[in-house]
Amino acid sequence: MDPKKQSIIIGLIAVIATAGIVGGVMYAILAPSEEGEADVLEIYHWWTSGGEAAAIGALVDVFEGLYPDTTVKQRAISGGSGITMIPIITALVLAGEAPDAFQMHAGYEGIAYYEADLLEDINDIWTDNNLEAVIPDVVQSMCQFEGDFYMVPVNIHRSNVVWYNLKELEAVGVDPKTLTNWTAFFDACFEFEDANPGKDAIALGHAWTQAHLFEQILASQGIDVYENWINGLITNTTDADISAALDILATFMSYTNDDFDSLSWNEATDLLIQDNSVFNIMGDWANGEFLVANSVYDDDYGTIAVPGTGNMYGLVVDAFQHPAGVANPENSDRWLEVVASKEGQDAFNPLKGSISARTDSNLTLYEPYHDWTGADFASVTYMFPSVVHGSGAPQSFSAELNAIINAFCTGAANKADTAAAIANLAADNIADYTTTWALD
Amino acid sequence: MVSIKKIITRDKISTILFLIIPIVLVIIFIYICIIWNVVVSLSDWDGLRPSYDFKGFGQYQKLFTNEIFLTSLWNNIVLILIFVPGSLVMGLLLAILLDQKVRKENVFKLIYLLPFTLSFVVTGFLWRWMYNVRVGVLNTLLESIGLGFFRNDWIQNVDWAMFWVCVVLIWQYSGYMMLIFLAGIRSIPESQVMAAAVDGASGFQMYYRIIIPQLKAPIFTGFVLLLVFALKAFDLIFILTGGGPGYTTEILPLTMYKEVFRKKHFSYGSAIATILFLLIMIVVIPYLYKTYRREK
Amino acid sequence: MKTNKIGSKKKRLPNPKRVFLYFLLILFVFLTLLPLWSAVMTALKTQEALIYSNPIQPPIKPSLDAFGTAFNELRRPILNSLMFTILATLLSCVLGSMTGYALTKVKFRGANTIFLFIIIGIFIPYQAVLIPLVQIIIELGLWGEISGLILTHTAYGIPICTLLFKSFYDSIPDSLINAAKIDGAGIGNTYLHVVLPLSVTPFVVTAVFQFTQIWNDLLFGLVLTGAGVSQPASVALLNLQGGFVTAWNVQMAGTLWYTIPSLIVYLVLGKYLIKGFMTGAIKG
Repeated sequence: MDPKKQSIIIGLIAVIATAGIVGGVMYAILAPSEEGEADVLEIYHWWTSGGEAAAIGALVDVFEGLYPDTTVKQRAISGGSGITMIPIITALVLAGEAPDAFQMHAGYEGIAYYEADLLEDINDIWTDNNLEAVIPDVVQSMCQFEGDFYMVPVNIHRSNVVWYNLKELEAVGVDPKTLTNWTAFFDACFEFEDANPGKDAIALGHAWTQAHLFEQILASQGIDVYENWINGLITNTTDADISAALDILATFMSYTNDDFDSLSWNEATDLLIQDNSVFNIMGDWANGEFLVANSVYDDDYGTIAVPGTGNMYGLVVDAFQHPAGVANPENSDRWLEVVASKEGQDAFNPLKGSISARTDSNLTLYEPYHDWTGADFASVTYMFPSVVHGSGAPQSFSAELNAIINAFCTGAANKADTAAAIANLAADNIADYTTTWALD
Repeated sequence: MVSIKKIITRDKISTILFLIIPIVLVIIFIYICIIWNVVVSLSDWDGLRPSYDFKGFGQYQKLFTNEIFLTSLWNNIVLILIFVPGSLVMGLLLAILLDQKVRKENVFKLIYLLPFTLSFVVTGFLWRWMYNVRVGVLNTLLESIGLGFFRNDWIQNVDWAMFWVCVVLIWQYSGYMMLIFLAGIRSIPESQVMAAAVDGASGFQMYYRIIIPQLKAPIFTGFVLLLVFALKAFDLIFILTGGGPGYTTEILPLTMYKEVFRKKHFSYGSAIATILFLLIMIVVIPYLYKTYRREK
Repeated sequence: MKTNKIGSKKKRLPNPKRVFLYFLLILFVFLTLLPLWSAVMTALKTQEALIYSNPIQPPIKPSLDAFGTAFNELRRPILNSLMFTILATLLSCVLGSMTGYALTKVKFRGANTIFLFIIIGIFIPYQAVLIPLVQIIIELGLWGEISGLILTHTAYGIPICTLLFKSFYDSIPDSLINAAKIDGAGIGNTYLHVVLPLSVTPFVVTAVFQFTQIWNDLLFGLVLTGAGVSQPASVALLNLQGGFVTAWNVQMAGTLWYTIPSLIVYLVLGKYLIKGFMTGAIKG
């Protein structure tokens, strides 16, 4: 190239190079050095949207009220179910830079850290704060590994909820309270679609929402069935209960919207709100959607337990733990205490849409919807930990389950193959089982 | 006058100085890492605590009976079979078009090459938006021009998801292939073209008989490069489909990532990575040997 | 050497073949740019407008809100990316140039073998070195630091940079080198006074290529930084998606912000990249 251009380019490169190097040096010197800051609490979570963000904010406020000299650093990594956060925590932990606490689902999600001796037991926190008295047994077992406590629950979400559009159901003469079994449920679906051609009775979303649905259906076959399943005892590829569950799922799919695989969970719930569907099975974080749309509980919308699970409470529990070797262990413990306290939980849960994990929470702070869940929580016979939401079974199990069910729902796999794949989950992941659940 | 010996020694030292840093870096970050990775695949490291007890080839045995791995492998092959010929053809087509003494040829070149310079992250998000079933560009475009019944579920479709992923890849790489082919076409001696014209060859025949057969070298180069890209397409699929629906767009790099960073199965994951590496080497080493042998 | 289209003299009526040709070319331009066009349109809309218009229509009331929101999130990460990309690119180019020179113009036995060993590195899948790489970076205490990314990208950039420079240096006549030798210049001096001044083109080509490669990387960013302060823009873009809901206008705006630096580099210096590709850097 001609010399003039050449010198211009050389000049440009020189300028950029200098800028880069100077910038780099300045950056290294001036960048806020994270270590060496005295009083910090660093927490990771994936509560990035709306109500969730407000909820964690309220909890942090309670903490800061008690410990005003501590700086709380929140790292919110978006991606439902921690799908993006978990690999990052993995890398952080490997690098020996675990944060002071990070969001985790109680149960199996923490097992990898436990087995690598990366968590410290917090029996003393449970004892000092008298938590065993106020937290239900099944939830407690979800917070333990081999008998010791390693985490505190921050909330209880219910997974086995059917949301229904009350006005639309009344218009076709269906009383949702009568839908306690699948036959009645599907009859109601039929009634709705008959009277509203072009609309689908059930709204469903993509990815994990389908596996979420499946585990509810499985629970409806009996708590003992579910218990055997998560204990890895169902290994027969032609198991009758799995087969029955898949049949129900297939019927279910015949009443759902065609574009389910491209809708996120809340877009599916929105279909209900827009009067385009009448039923949606989703955890109770869906309540937020109704609130935002100014729907009124027991007027515009309502809830029942998934048919067949009336006496059960499907648990989705978020928790925090004390990683080993963290930068600020005292703050880590303080955080856990605040999280587990009545004050903390009463600040967090009403905004989050879950209920407190404590049986002594102040129920007046909650939405009308929570009257229903709160009452059920105190009175159900059985509780079961969700697999899809990280608690009931090893991570590989739930990760593969998602794909298996998705394949079935989209028609990529037939019933026989799906049943076989589900049965094989137990065998494939046998090395990762460490707990035997006792749900009844 | 400096003695010859001194010059040679001085030169030796200079050469070493010039080469020491790059060579050390390459040895550590490439060779040692590859070997180490194989070691991990033979160890019993599972979970967050590194562990290097020798466990043998168990992970590899597990691999070849694992349905997810085999699906992943198969998907990789399908990807190659669609993407590589697709890009070659598109690239060739664009090159031929641009060879026609087009005005503003450079502008066209710049535009066609643009996707190649985009990050897969960008491409992933752009095309997720394109392929979105309800409000995405393609479906709404089809509807607005009256072709509504062509609405598709694109990458949600169990049978065709991989195909649509390949379309994105072809979109990304065609420009690059175009450049390679254009260079090849333009390097064919004018005399040959003239001679053929004198013999009465039409435009089409010209390309078909004379030019394309002489593009063996660029086709070969393109083939190898595309193959390597195909085997590395992690970023795009990670963002575009995450491997779904089900496992229909899952490819080996993605499986490895999920095994290691989500499920914490380190040695199993590294076994997958090793297989991926070997597959690529099977293609690359003969290619390098052939290309650079004559330089020896 | 351009292939001559026989008989294509200036005609008064447009040749139907030419019309068709331009039609095809423009069609492909349309196909190529459609996603980007849609991204721009989407980024200029407010949330409401998104619902009520289709993705290709321009917004009735363009709004820069999405750009603002996205920029807030991406400000630091883009700065990070600029920082390590520029530094790593410079280092890669310098090292590539020195290596290319040493392996081309300094005739010693084994030069070619070393060269081959180095360029195999162009083709390795990063998954095959990922776990050990993370461990090394952790051991060096560089995890989560920009310097870790600089080191990584420089190291993995050496093979391709070496190849690009070597291809160029091959075309420098040996006589130039020999002349310098006769004048008593050693290897270093020859490099500084003869080779380097001639290297502007390959520097530009390599710099553009490396800049693009490093700027676009996602994998290393994901596993070597914790989505913390040092995260690259690519990782931050990933994080821009809402927890459950994606606000597409913000997402597209973020994508565009992220694209702008590499787009600028490409538009300004892309010609050299193209020239570089075409004149044999990629002949084989």
